[in-house]
Amino acid sequence: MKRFIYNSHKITLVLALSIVCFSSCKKEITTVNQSGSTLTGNFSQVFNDFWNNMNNNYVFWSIDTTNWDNMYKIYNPLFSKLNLNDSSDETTAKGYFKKMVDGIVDSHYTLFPDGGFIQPAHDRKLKNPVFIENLFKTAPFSPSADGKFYYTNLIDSLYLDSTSKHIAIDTVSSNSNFMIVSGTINSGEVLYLSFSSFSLVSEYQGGFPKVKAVLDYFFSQLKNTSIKGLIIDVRGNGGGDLQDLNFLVGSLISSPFHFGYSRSKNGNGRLDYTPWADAIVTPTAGAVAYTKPIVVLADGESVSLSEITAMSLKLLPNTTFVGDTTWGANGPLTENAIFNAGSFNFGKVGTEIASGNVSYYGNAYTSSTMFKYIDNKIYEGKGFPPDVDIKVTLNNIFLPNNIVNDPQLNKAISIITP
Amino acid sequence: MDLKKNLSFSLLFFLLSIQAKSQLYVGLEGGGSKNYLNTNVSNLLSTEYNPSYGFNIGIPALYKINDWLAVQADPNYMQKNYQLARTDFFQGVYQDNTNTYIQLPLMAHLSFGGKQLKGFLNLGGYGGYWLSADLKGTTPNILNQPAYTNSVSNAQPNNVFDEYTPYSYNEKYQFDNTKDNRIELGLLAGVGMSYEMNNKYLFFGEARYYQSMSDQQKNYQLNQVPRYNETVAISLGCLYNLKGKN
Repeated sequence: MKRFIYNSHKITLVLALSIVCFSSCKKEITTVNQSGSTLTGNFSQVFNDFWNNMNNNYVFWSIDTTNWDNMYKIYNPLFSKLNLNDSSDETTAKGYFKKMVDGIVDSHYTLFPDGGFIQPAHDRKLKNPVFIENLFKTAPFSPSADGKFYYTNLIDSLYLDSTSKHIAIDTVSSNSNFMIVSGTINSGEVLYLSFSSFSLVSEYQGGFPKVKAVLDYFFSQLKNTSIKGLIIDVRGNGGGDLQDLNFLVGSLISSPFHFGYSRSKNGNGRLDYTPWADAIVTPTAGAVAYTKPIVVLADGESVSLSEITAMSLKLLPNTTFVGDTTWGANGPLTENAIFNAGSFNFGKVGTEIASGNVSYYGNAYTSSTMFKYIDNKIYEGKGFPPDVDIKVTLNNIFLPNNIVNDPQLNKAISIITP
Repeated sequence: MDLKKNLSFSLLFFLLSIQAKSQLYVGLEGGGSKNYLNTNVSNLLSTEYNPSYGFNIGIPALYKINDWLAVQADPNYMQKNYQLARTDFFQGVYQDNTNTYIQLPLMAHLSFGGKQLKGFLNLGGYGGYWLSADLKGTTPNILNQPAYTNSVSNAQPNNVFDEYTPYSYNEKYQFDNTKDNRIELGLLAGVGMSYEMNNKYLFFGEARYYQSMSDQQKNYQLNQVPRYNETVAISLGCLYNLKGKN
C-alpha cells in the first residue's frame, strides 16, 4: 500500500507535466468572420474583409496564378494609410482593388467597390487587338425599330427565308430587350435559332407571348423532314439561366449525356473542395434525338451558359462548332449559401434602421463552382476553341450599301448544305 | 512511401532489439475509436463538423523496468473519422471522411494496484502517417438540373434538394501535396486495467486519448484555420510474456 501511494505521487507528477504540455503546443484555432458580417469603419477593415472573403469564397484557387498572400503583404499596409472619407483616397483604393484582381482567372469575376466596376476578363479582352467589343451592337447598319443594332437577331435575319421569319423582342417583362429569332435559310433547308440571352424558360412559361410563339415554331420545325440541319447561334450571348440547358439541348436528345464535371468549396481553406460532380444534360419529356447535322455558332462574346451550350452540343456526333474561341467563363453561379462559396458582399457599412437594409462597401460577383469539361481540361479564363475557326471583323461582315456578309454563318450553312 | 518503409523498419528494429531482454511482452489489441476534428467553421452558413466512429488494431509491446514502470510501444492502424454536415435548409448535404492512420505511440506505462489485477496509466507521444482517406457524401449538383417540364410550380422549397439534384459520391480521396499534411505528431494519455494470468498472459482494457499537435494542413496560406484530430480509442488486448517469468 505504501509503495502504491509512493508510485501514485510519481504518476501524478508525470500526468500534470503532460497536461501542461498538451495545452501549450498547438496553434490557436482562429475564427473567420461570416461573409459580409464585419462592420467596417476604415479602409484597413474593408481591405481585410475583402481579402478574407476572397480567400474563403473564391473557387478557382487551385488554378489561379494570383499570389493572394502577396496581395495581403503588399496592399494591407497601403490600405491602412487611406481614409475612407477622403474622395481622392477612394479613387486610390479602387486602383488598388483593380491591381489586386487583375490576374483573377474567373472570367465572370466582377468587382463593384463603392460604385466602381472592375472586370479583369473584360480588361484582358480589350488588350487583344483582334477582339471587337459589342460587335453586334456597334455595327454600321441601319438600327432596328428600338434604335439598337443587333447582329444576330436582326442582321442575320436578312439570311432567313422571308416567309419563315419569326422574330420577337420582349419589351414588356423583366427580361426586357430579350430578343429571339428563328426561321429557315436556303429555301427551307436550314433551321436557324438565335437569342440574346438564356432566359428561354422564363420567357416560355410566363414572359412575352411572342417569344413563346417563336420557340414553338422552332420546336415544331425540328420535326420538319424537309429541313436538312440546324444552326444554333449563341454569338454575343452573355449566358443566363442554367435550366435553359435542358430546355434547349434537352430538346435535341433522347437520353441523358455526361459533358463534364463541377465542384465547389466545402471549407475555409483555399483548396478545400467538394469532389467533382457529373455534369449532365437531361432530355425534355418526349424529346426525340435530332440526328441531322447541327452547327453551333459561338464567338469571343459567347459567355457562361452560351459556352456550356456549345461545349455540350459539341459532344453530339452530328454537331460542329463554328466561330471563334469563347469568352472563358464556365463556372456556374448561384447564391453563396448553397455552397458557402462564390459571390459575396464585403465591408459592411451599416444597417438602415427604418428598412433594415444592410449596405456594404462593395460586392464581388464570382462563380460558385468551377467547371471541367469531359476531356478533363478546365477552359476557365481560356475559352473553348471551335472546330472551325473563322475570325470576323466589322469590315468583312458589314459591306457597303447595307450588304451583310457573315463568314461564320456562311460556313455553318455550307456544312449543312454543302 | 518512404515514410511507410521507415516506420516498418523502425518497428522491426524495435521488436528485434527487445527480444533479448527479459520482462518483455508482445501482443495484440483492437477496439473502437471516436474522432473529433477540432477546427472552426462558424463563419460557414449551417455547417458543422461532427465526430465519427472507427476502429483500431495494434501490436503492443511492453518492456517492464520494475513493478510500477514500463515502456510501451504500440504500433497501430487507426481510423480517425469525422463528418462535415450542413443543417437547417441544407439538411442532407454531408461528407463522411474515413481516414486511416498508421501510428507509433511510445509511452511510459505506470502501473498501480495488486499483483494480478492492476490499474495503469499510459503517457507519451506518437507519430503517425495519414495513409488513406475515403469520402462518402451528398452535395447539390448545379450542372445536373431536373428535366424540363412545362408545368409552372410556385411551391416553396423546404430543402436545398427541392431546388438542386443531389450528387452522391463514395470515392477515394486524392491527397493534395500543397494542402495535406500527412504526418501527424501528438501526445497521448491512456488509462486502463490489466489482469495477468499464469505469468504468461496479460489481458488488458484501455481508454486512450490522442491529441494531435500537428495541423492536418500544411501551412499553405495566410489566415489559415488549423485542424487537429482528437481521438478517443477504447481497446481490449492481450500481451504474451516472451520470457514467461515475472
